[in-house]
Amino acid sequence: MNGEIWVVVERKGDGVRRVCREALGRAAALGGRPVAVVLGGDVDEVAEAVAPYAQHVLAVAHPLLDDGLAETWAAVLGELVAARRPAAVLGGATTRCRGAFARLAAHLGCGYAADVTGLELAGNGRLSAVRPVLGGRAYATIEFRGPAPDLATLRPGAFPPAAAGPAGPIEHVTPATAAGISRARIAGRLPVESGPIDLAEADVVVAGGRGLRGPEGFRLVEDLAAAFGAAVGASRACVDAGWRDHSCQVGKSGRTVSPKLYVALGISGAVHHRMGMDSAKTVVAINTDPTAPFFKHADYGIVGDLFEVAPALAAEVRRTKGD
Amino acid sequence: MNIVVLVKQVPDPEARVTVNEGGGPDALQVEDRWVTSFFDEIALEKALLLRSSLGGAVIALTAGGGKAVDALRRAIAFGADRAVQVDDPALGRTDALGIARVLAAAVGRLAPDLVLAGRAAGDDEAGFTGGAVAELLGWPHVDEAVELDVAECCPGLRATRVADGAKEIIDVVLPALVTAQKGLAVPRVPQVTNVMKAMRAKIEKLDLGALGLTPERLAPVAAVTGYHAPPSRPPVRMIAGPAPEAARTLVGLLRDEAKLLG
Repeated sequence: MNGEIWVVVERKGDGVRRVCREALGRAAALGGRPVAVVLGGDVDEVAEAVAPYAQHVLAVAHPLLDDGLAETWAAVLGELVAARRPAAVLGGATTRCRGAFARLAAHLGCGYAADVTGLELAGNGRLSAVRPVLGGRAYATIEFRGPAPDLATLRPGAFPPAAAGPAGPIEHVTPATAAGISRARIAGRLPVESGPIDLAEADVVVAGGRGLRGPEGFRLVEDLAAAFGAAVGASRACVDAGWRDHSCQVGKSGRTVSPKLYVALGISGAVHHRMGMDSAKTVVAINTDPTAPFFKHADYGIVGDLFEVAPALAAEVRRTKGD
Repeated sequence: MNIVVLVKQVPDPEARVTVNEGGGPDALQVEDRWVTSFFDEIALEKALLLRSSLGGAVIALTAGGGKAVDALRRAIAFGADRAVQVDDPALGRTDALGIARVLAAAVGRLAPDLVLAGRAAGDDEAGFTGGAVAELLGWPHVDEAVELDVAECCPGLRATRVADGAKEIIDVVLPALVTAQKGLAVPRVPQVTNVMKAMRAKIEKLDLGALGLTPERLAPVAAVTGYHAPPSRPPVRMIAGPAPEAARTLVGLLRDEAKLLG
């Protein structure tokens, strides 16, 4: 692709969310010039953290950008796009970026593909995107028309991350639009109850279902997740029963995950659940019930008592990783 | 407080989906079973709860022909005061941004204090419409709210959502648009008598001309040019034996065959 491909960078702690490195990797593979765009109140740390993965970094600092709200981010991105005319703008398919990209697309009148799992160069020099629809039971190809840039948010885990190279130069930009446009503001931030590893970007997810019989049974999931270094997920039944917070729910009415490995403990595997994890690379189903539908949609299956299999598996994983 | 709720009729999540060989734009075949989108029903329920505490009217709005009107009848069965359908032959040729333009124009005419919508529709799951409609209206918006109440800093609302592993409390000035995440409300099961009444309820209709829009304004900028089936998983490998042995076999396969645990 000729021209610049921008990637909107999101912070994670002191560093950069992995999906942003994945987007920078895809930008380079598409032949464009990968430019990282860092928005925030204080952007220096993140700009330096992302520089080895981009040819150029735009560090855009303004106190109002610190809130990370869609309205402000879209307004500032709109201003920068109009001035510098990139060929495409990419981001992670996160709550924050999806909100900002929806607004940016409407603001610019550009095409936007959300939560894409494929991104290629089309014959006309524009992008073409592939994204799951109907809970992943079909994939749609999207082609961009109308004005540039082409906009897309990338599903975490769908693309390999960029490798570090020589750090690109950091250019500081002061936006003109941010002042006076914020009619929403963050009044507070509270941590939520969840495991130490983020579900959306985890390489391994261990999820539990009704087969665990109660909130105490979830300790099996937590222990196995700790052994794998995995995030903890839950089926709808567990969330509806109050065993786990909704932020852990995987499925149609919860989160969508694409880990390298998904281990389902005591989850029957109803279509609603599979819609949230069908793009996982390898799936292991463990269930007491040999007729559980999950066994038709897994790579490996074990029929057995969860309260015996899960601890045995955790011990074996720890032994293997310790080798 | 007057509230417009954006609603969409979508294929039943359990409807059979097949993708024909060839993969063109007509390759997708979905069984003819429809429901109102899951998150839209949550938005609708929340609108009705806000109406009972704050007064005002709840207006359901949809864009499209065919089954689209069923989402409006569902909304009336829930208890919505009015139902508005934008229908025009041009809607069949536009894209998500075109539909957002149509909805924004209709909301502009209805001039509510608040627009509620589901966080994503059950068919394309893009989560695009809420943010796009808010931008076109020039309103602030909050995505994926799990709580929504009148803010102390009236005239405004306080929403809570989960993003980046944290609960964010967001104050927003009205008019505003908020999208509903699971947990915001639990949709009711409408009574049969209300469902019967909704079948006969008046649906207000608008076309593009009435909204001051032209088909040219709705030319697609992101067009679906084809579909393909998801990659299929090879048949499952069942691992037998007592728990410690099965665990050892599985970990061996994960390491050597799936190249995990490296």
